[in-house]
Amino acid sequence: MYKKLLLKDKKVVVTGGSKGLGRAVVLACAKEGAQVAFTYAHDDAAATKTEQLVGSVGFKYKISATSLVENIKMAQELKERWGGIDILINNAGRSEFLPMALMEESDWRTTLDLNLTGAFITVKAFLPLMVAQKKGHVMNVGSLAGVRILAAPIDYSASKAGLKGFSEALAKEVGRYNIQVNCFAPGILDGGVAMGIPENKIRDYIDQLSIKRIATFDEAARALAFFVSDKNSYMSGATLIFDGGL
Amino acid sequence: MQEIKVQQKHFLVYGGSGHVGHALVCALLQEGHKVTATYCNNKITMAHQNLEVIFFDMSSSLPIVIPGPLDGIAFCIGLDKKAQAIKKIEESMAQNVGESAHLFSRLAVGGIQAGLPSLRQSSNPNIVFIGSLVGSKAFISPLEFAASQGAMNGLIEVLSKDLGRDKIKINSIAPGVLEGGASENLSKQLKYDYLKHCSLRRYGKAIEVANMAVWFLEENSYITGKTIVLDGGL
Amino acid sequence: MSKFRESSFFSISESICPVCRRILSGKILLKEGKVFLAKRCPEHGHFEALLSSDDKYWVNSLSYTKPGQLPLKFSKAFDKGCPEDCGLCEEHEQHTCSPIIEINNKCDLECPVCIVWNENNYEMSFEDFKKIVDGLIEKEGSLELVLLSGGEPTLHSQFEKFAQYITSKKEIKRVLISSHGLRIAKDEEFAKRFAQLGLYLSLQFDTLRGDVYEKLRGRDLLADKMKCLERCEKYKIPTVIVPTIARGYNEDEVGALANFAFKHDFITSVTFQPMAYTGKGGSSFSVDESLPITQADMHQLLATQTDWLKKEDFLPIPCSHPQCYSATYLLKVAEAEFIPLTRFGEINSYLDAMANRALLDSGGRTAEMLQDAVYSLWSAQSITVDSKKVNDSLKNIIKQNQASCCALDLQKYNEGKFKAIFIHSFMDENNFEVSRIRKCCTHYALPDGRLMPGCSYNNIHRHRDERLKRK
Repeated sequence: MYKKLLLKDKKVVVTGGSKGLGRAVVLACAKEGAQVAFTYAHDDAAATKTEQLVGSVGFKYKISATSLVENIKMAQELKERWGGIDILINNAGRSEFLPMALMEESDWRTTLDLNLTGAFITVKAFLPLMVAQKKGHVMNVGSLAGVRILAAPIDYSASKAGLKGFSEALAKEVGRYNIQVNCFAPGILDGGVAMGIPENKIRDYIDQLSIKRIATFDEAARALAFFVSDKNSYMSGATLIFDGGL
Repeated sequence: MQEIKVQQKHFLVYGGSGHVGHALVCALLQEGHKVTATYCNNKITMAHQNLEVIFFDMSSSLPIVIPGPLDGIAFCIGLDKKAQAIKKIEESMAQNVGESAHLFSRLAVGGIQAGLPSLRQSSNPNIVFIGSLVGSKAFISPLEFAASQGAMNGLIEVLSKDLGRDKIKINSIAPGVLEGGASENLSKQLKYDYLKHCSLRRYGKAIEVANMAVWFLEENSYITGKTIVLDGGL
Repeated sequence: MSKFRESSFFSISESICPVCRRILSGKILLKEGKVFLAKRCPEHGHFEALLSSDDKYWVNSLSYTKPGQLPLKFSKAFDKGCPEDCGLCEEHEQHTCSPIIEINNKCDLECPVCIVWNENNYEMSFEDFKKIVDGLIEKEGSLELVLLSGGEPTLHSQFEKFAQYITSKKEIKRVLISSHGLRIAKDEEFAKRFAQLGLYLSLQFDTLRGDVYEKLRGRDLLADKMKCLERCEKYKIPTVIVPTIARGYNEDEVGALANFAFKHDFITSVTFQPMAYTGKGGSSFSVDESLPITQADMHQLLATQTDWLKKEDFLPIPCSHPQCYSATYLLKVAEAEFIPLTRFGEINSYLDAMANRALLDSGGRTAEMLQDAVYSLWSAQSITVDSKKVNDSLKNIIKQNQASCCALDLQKYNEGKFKAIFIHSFMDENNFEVSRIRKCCTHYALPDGRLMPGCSYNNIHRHRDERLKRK
């Protein structure tokens, strides 16, 4: 028995796509028939590996998520190459646990700049393409830490909560152009940013989950690929909590 | 590559003759799955080799037991027209307000209990409840119905904890105003107000709710205890 | 000999006999790229009037229509049918967007182009005026504007008492005075009080040439008009200039008039009124079926006589009948530099925000229109529009709108940033069509509570108005 590809011929941009959840999202979208352009900032080897894994339908861009000029240039190139884009997945982000007492203003700003302002910048660069074609989907990768009280870094939680509000307000503003904007909020993922947490805390966390396990990147990515597809055509301003039932 | 290989599954749909229920049954059949669908007032006349149809009245019938593996249950039963009337609080009967919540909860719990042995045989069992926006966002609605949706959201959260030990995921899909179906009972003014505030500036379609339900029944492996709002950004 | 008619029949249209004003069945004919109304009176014979010099524009404009808004109440039940039941009757298709209250029929000019019949024998009483104003609020709830007219309203012996009363009503956002401006020009103290009352001036301003004033208004009024404008600028009286354009007299000045208006911040818009051959002056002004200036003619004239307007910038306004008004809205991007909103977005769906008023709608539709204009420009990245200039201008407007704490200051600020060019075609007995009356939203408000569509009153009911008959 066969089912149709969810993202056949879709043009997808994934930020922070060289590794981790980003790589899984790139691969999941490609598997569902999309062409994927992904960005990365530092890790050339990881980006090359992702490019190899995804094959001819995917390619990389080395740009900073916080540079409007670079993102606009990428958007213009993709407009030449693809004619437009259908889906933007804002995944680029960082997390580093520091208690409040040790967190400097510069640490706060760096996290907010990448996790929140970065999303604003990529939307600013790519949204005009979606407005012109009167269709599109923006998926901002937030976190459970932005919607629930968790022992997560303060700057990280603030940035992810900010993404939720950004998604809701943007959904309101651009819904008239048939553009959906949603937020995907995963809990702890196997190999993700929270894996630096002590093992006993991870066990406590798993104990509280209905599903009693941590999800893989691949699981999260497959779910995300569905939520940005045309099969999800009436959801906007929503936050999808992917946490295994905390 | 145009398609992905999938395994045929078996789903039970309570309320398969309703507006969203019918769309869900059709969507599941189109994916190639086996469907057991119930009806009450409107008999399902569609014939399909993978479709089994059973009469079920939620106020009196016993929940359905499916022999063999069952991959998911969807609850798509709505209220009758009398209960859908929007009344002011002065006109409502206090003792009736909890009736709908009682019916839905009894259906959900009874139906899940009856389906547990079969669900446990599935590799990725899912339960989906088709609810309504009114359980999650403030929107004018019949008191009984709103109370029942809020009750179901709480029930689903708690059930997710219980069912998680069997790896059964349970979620609710909460649509906003749809074209057709129960929304036909809403006043013109209410529907106009909804459109005015809906970011996508349109009503939803039953098939859009069905598509979401299909994914949750067929593919979902990790989301549980959640209410998924499909309201075009209200 | 040809077996075919010279013109193509388009539709039937109810009209009136230009002589006896009885209702007649006429027909709309398309001929040589133009549109005509032909009708035959059993007593007075055959008549034909030019409706449009561009049949494509005329036919296309018919699609610019949308459901009218219901007033809170109608004054009259359906009885004999349109236009006999005027008042508004329950069959009328639109509420009152622009009410006009004629407070007198006295004037100190005898304009050859006047479309009303000033017998200099009527001044409205304060009680009647109050009744009308209160009645308007009862029927509409809130009003974007009310126009006081006449005769010359500033000559009314209780003008300032009337003005004080109506400006005290918070349900009425703006009060415009339709005036020749002579009292403001001659009496500086009056100008000051006019400004203090918060009134807007709708100023007859036909030409920048004294000799043309003589022909259209009976006297060379240019110096007085310029003095009036000088005072309006000094005392910050928001002004709409209203040129009557008559073929053979001032149609070569429409570009100059538009340029003149847009040089001054206190002038919020220009409403061109092609000559209508009705009224005491107008009905005896020379008329030939080739002479009327139609909407399409005005668009062409403005496009030819300016380097910043195109015919396509003008869209029919669906608020009333689409052949009554067309307009373009322009955004100020620099000193005396304006860009029509049509250049950077699809604004057709916002024509109701423009409506047929000389001033921008202060409601949410304007804000939506601005947002769509911003997004259209951003996504199109048009190379024909100076995007940065437009973006900066829009951004300043949006920021100022949030920073301003006074609603009135904000209204004035927005009026300076957006200007409109309206073209308002009145009907006369030659080109009168009952179908245009049906959706008219510019109504004379009468003391007996009736609201009378403007052209229906001017062509039919004014002659029956007992208040205005010679005693």
